[in-house]
Amino acid sequence: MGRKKKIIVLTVCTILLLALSGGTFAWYLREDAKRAQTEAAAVMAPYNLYLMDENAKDTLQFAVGNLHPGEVKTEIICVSNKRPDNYTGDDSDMAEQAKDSEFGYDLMLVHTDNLAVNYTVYALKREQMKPGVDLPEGAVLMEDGYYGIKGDPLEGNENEISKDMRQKVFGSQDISGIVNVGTYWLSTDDEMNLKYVASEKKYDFEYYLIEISWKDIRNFDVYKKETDLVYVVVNAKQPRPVEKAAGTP
Amino acid sequence: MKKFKQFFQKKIILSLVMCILLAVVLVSATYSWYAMSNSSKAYGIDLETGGTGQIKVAVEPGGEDIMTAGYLTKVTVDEKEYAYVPLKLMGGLMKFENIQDQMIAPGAYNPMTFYITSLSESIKSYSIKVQLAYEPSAKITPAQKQKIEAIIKDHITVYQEMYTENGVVKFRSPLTYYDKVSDDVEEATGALKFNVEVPATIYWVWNYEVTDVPNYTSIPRFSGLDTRSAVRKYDEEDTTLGNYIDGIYFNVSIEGSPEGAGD
Repeated sequence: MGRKKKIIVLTVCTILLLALSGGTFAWYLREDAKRAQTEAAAVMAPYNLYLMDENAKDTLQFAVGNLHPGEVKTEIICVSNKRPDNYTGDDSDMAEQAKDSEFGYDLMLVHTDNLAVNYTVYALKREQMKPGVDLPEGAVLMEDGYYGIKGDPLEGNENEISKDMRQKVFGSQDISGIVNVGTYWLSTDDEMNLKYVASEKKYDFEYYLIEISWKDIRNFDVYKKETDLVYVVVNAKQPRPVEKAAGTP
Repeated sequence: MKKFKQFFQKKIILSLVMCILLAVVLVSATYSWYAMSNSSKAYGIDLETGGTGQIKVAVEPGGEDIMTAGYLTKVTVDEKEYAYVPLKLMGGLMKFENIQDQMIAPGAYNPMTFYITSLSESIKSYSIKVQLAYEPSAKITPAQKQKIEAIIKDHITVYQEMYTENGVVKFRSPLTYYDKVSDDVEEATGALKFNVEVPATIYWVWNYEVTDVPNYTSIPRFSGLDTRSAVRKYDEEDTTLGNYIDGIYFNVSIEGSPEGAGD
């Protein structure tokens, strides 16, 4: 075969080779998918809330004991975001993982309906007793060398809340025959907050004094053998989030 | 050898071979032409250019394609490249009463909008699939990490649609997450029109209560529980998540398809 033809054949083969490799290369290069990774949205610290004894160390042992007419019993409770030393719950101590947090809470007292008691809740400010210094007027003695100063009584909501809660528990059932229907009292103070500063491991403790007394009743005999329960419930406030209205900071 | 030479020298064979070669070259050239679609002038209209492939995806209206935008850094996940999109480019986080600013908590939700343009007449729809990822807290143990993995996908859901019922915000058409980007999962789809920018919005939601989780009764750990116990268990899981993770983020994969968007 002549030299010319050889060159032609060679050129054609080279072109073919290039065309094929170009074609297959384009096939692999073609990336159709677009991929994006969003920046992480930070998660807020959750609320951990405990009810403690007035010594701010143990879980609350709330016992009113025998209450006679005319008598006023007091009980001091502590609400805190620090886990009590003798906590028997199952989760590990969340405090190690805790981040800075501040959240509101409310206090709820529940007693069974057939108990004719009144209660008043006071915010209590705990102070340490100083040697040689007299206690101020109206101070309440607390454990471990502390005393408390009563603040104003807490505002609460009784009727509406009782209606709401009964609705939740019983639904549309007729409750006139039920003996253990609860009567609820819910604090309405919006300023009750617990703060935690992670860098200082600083917890918050808030104290309350609960005064319990019998209502003014004529025939005490009816209630003579009543053994009833009063529940203290603390709820961290976490309602369903609602979009902030445009323009609010 | 001589016979071979003779055979090859026959003009008819030679021209036939040349024709075949020519055809192959032409075919591969025209095929690439239609597949790439990168010409800047066709039919007298200026086409959207940007990146390779058949769709352009931006995070702002009229913005650049995320894969080629110079101002977006790239990250690699499972050997695939992703464009890292800061939250403020997507409008930042929504603000809620009861949630700290720039943070999320149960009940929070946020839209993610992608502006998708079809770059080819043959691309008629898009499909978006999502992967959920999280940043664990510093001191998390492997056992805690396992616990998170088991629950987080039920708490955070991505939906296609948001609506309001009796003043409460609700969502429907949930997507399912992929582990590997090639997984077949429930995707968000929509129609595309050639050279028209279409906003495609999906919403991620931290389901507030267990009753907001799609089909929660079929989740093994909740099935068999009465509603109140399920609500409580879910709330405890929320607390675990809040304590063990620092943040959540999403990997999103968007493709164009020649099929219509269906419904």
